[in-house]
Amino acid sequence: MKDMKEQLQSYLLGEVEEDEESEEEERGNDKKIKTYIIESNLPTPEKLRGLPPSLTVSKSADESLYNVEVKTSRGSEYLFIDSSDSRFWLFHAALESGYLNSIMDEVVARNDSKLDYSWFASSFLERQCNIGGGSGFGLRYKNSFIGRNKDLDQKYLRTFSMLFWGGRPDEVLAGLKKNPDIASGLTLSRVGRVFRTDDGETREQISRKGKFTLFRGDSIDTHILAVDTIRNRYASLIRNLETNFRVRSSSTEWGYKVEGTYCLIQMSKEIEDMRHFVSVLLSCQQPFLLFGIPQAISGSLVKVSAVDLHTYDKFDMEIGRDFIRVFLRERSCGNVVARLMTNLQEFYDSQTKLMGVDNEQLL
Amino acid sequence: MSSFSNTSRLLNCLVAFATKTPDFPCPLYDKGFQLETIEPVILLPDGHAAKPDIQFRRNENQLLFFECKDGACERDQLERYKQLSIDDLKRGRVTSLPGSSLNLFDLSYFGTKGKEDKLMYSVVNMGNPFPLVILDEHEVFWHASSGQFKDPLLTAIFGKIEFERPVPLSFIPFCASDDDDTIIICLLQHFMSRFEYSFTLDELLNDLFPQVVNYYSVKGKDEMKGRIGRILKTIMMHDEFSSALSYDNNTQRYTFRTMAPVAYRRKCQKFIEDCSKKAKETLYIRLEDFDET
Repeated sequence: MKDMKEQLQSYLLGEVEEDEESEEEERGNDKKIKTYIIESNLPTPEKLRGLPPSLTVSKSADESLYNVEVKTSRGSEYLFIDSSDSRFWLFHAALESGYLNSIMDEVVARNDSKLDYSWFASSFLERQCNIGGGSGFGLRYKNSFIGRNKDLDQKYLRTFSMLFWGGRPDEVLAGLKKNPDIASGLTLSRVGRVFRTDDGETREQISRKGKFTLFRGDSIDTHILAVDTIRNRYASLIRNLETNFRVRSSSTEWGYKVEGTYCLIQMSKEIEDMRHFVSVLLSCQQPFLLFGIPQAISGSLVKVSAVDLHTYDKFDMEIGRDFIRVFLRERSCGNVVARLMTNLQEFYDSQTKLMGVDNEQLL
Repeated sequence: MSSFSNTSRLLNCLVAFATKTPDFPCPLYDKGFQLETIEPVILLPDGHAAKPDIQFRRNENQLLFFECKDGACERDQLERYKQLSIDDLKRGRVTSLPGSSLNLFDLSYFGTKGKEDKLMYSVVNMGNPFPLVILDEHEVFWHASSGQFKDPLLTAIFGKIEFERPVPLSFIPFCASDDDDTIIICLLQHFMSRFEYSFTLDELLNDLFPQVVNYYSVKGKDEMKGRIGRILKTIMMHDEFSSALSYDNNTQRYTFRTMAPVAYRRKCQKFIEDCSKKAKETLYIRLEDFDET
C-alpha cells in the first residue's frame, strides 16, 4: 500500500495543474488521479471475470492490494485495486479519463460482473459528499421516460445540463431550486469540494458513479481520506438498506413467517404512461440493468418480479402512479436501490426521494 | 396477466398491518401484535386439524388468527373453528407463548368487499359467532352485523382502517391458493437468476419456497411437486422455451439453458401473453362460488 501511495504522490506532485473548469476532462484526455469506489460481491480481485485481454491482474506484496497492468498503444500503464474493505473496493488510476471510463465500464457494467459502481444519487452528492468546502457542481438531466407523446414533451423538462465552478455553489444551487419549472431537472451529476488536512489539500470532483477526480493538490493521503470518508457514508447507507429493508421468510417450529419491510421511492410527479415507464425501466439495458416480469394488478399498480442483472439476485417492486415499493429479498444487494434511485433522479425526476419507515429520507 | 389472487392480497394486507412500512398503516404493529406463523396447523381433539391462514401473538397471553376467504366459507371449516379452544392451542404447542400464560384468542374471517355477501351469508347468517373483517379498495372494516372480537382492542383496531395506497402485495409473493400464473412468474424470475440451471423437482421446490417445504406434509409436498411439474411441462411445450428447458428421464433432472436477458424477457412476454389468451378461452368455475346452500 505504501508503494502505491508513493507512486501516486510522486505523480501528483509532478502533474501540471489544471483548473476544474478545464475542458480536458470533458474531452476525456486529462490524466488526473482518479479513484472509483466499486461495490463488490466477489471474494477477491483475482476472481474478476471476463476482463478484456489488455488487462492483467496480479497480487502485490500487500495482500489486499492488486496491480492491474493495462496494455495500451503507449506501453503498460497501471491501475491499483485496494480491496482492504471487502465490500467496497477502491480502483486508483492516473489514466486518461475517457479510456479509464471505458475500462471501468468493461470491468464493472457487464451483466453478472458481480461488481457495481457506487451510485451517488443527487441527494447523496448534495448531503453526504459535503466534506470540506464547495467549489462547484455539475447538473445533468435527461428524461428518458417521455414517450413519443408530444403533449408530454411540452409539459415536462426533457433535458437540462449545467456546469458551475466558483464561489458559493450551495447558494447558486438553492437559487436554481426556487424555479419550479426546472426543479425536476436539477440533478447533481458531480460536486467539487476542497478538502484540507494537516497533511495538505486536495480539490476533488466527486461524481455520480462514485468516482473521485483529484484536480489539484499536494497530498495523496488527503485524497484517500476524502474517499474513505465518503465510502464509509455510502457503506452505511447500503448496510442500512440490507439490514432494515429486506423481506425474509423462514421456517418456524409451527409453520413459516415473513419478517422485514420495504423501502419506498417517492416521486414528485405522476407516471403518465405506465406501460412506457415499465418498459424503459425493465429494458435489461444500462443504466438500470433490471430484468423484470410486470403484472398489472390494476390501472395504477404494477407488480414486478425483478432480477438485478449485476448480481442476478431476485427482488420485487410495486410501481404505483408516483411511487415504487422495493422489496429486497434475503440475498438481494442493497446497491440495486442506490442504482435505481440515482438513475431515476437523472432520467426521470430529480426530486425523487428514498423513504424509510419513520418518514425519514434515506436518499 | 393480472392473476394475483385475492387470498394473497388478504394475507399480504394482514402482514402489512403488523409491519412498519413507509406508506401503509400498521395498526396491529402499533398495538403490539407480532406475526408469528403463516398457515399454522392446530390439531383438534377429534383428530381433524384447524388451519387458519395467519397467526399473531401479543404480550405473553394472546393469539389472533385470521382465515382469509375470497368467497363463501366451507361448513366443515366453520365447525372446526367453532371447536377450537385455548386448551387445543396449549396442547398443540402452536405458539412461542408459554402455555401457562395463554388465556385469550380471537379468530376472525377476512374477506373482500366483492364477495362480502357470500362470506356474510356463510358465516353470520348461518349463526356462526366469528367476527368478519372486510377489505375494500381504500379501507378495512369490521362488519358490525358479524360476531364480536373477544378483545375489545381488536374491535377498536378493525372498526375502520383507512389507506390511500394499494395494499402491499409482495411480502408473500405466493400462497397455495394462487393460480398457476403466479407460480409461472415466480419460476420465470427464478430461472433468470440462475446460470445453466440443472434441478430436480425437489431441488426446485427447495430453492423457490424453502420455508414452505420445511413444514409441508409429504402429501402436501407431492401435490406441490405435481403442480409445478405440470407447469414445467407447459413451459417446455411452448415454442419459446422448447429448446431452453429440457428434462432427462434417466436422471429426472431438468436443465434450463441461460439466455441473454433481453431475449429471455421477450420470450417470457410472449409466453405470458399466450397463457393469458388460453386462460380467457377457458371458463373456470370455482366451487366456492357455489357453496351457498
